[in-house]
Amino acid sequence: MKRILPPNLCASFFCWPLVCALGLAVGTTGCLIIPTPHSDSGYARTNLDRHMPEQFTPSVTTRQDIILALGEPDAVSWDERQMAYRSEKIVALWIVIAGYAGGDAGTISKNQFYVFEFDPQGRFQTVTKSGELGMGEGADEPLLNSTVLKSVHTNGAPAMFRGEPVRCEYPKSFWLVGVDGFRSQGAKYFVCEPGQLLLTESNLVFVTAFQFANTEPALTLPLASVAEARVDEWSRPLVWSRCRLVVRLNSGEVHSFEIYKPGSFRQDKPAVQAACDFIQSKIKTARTEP
Amino acid sequence: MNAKILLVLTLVLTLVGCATTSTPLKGRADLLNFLTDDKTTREEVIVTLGQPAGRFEAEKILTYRLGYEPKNNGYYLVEREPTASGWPTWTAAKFSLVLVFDDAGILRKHSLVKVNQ
Repeated sequence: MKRILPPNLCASFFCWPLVCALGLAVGTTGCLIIPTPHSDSGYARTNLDRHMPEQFTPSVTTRQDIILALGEPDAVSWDERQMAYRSEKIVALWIVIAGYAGGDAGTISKNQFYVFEFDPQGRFQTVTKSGELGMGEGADEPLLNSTVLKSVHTNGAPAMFRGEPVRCEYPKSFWLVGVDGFRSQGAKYFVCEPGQLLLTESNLVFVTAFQFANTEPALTLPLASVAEARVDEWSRPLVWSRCRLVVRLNSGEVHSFEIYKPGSFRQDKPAVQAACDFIQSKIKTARTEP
Repeated sequence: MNAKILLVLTLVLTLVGCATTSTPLKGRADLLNFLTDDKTTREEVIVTLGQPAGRFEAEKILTYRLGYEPKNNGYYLVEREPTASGWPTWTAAKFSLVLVFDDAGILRKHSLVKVNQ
């Protein structure tokens, strides 16, 4: 059989997932996907290529050398043992040619992640490359912590916060400052801060998605200062019910949190209940202690 | 007479409509001139450039994001541009300034990395 394109071009240009997506999408939704030559989206860094890792030598190159060469990383784990760099290539265009959304169009991009791992002395050990397809417009990008950096676990050791191991971690959480569950006026529509919620023996910690994980968390609440922890639910017919973890401090300050299943838009109600139970157990312990 | 006034008014309004205001250049070509290895201190850097976008290895490494103005070959500071996913973008910032200090807080190495074309 005669090839129209050289094999390597064929592999990069018409990668199999895209070909399958093309057939499936046109057949079922009237959506047309047109593969394009890979080009930088302009949103992410462009100073990465597949030969880039070759300049670094395991056990010799340091974290410092890599930052000096590639610039500020896009993400770092809390203990700096992992650093991630991301590029984003446009690989296809999508056009809806029929139905309600007819005439809509956008791009499909491919995120390329390079995750560098270091030993405790900051010497480079390995680099792993991974990629994820995503819709360039209107859809969620892959979440930072849940998919790429094992930021709260490095080499199987539990993450520590101020010398304490993290007991519960919720990587896809949202924080609502000063919101009392669904009781505050307009509480259902408040804008939340995305990030991850962590619970240690004596602290509730929230690290926002907008900060480097090696910096001081955006919120640290000592559990000893918590007066009340409860789960608030809100439901209406034909709408998914929602729930929030509400934490009220002795000072009257209040915070709410929503927890979602990683990689999903569904709320994780058992996780909200578990977090609430954990905090309540710590409040009870504190109250019963002499 | 009225026709002349009308003509003048039309001409003035047309010219005003075409007028453009020149926006001041963002960048400064000398922004980084104060950086000298083995001399500049971390305090001088923070006083001059403000809070860094990234801090690593207990503040031995500081990073700043810089935009670039080709008209005057100038650099300007840009804040981290996060998205809801947590991944920052590099749309306004084109360069990453990396500064490495020693234990005494003296600048030992620095690099200006072109991150986005």
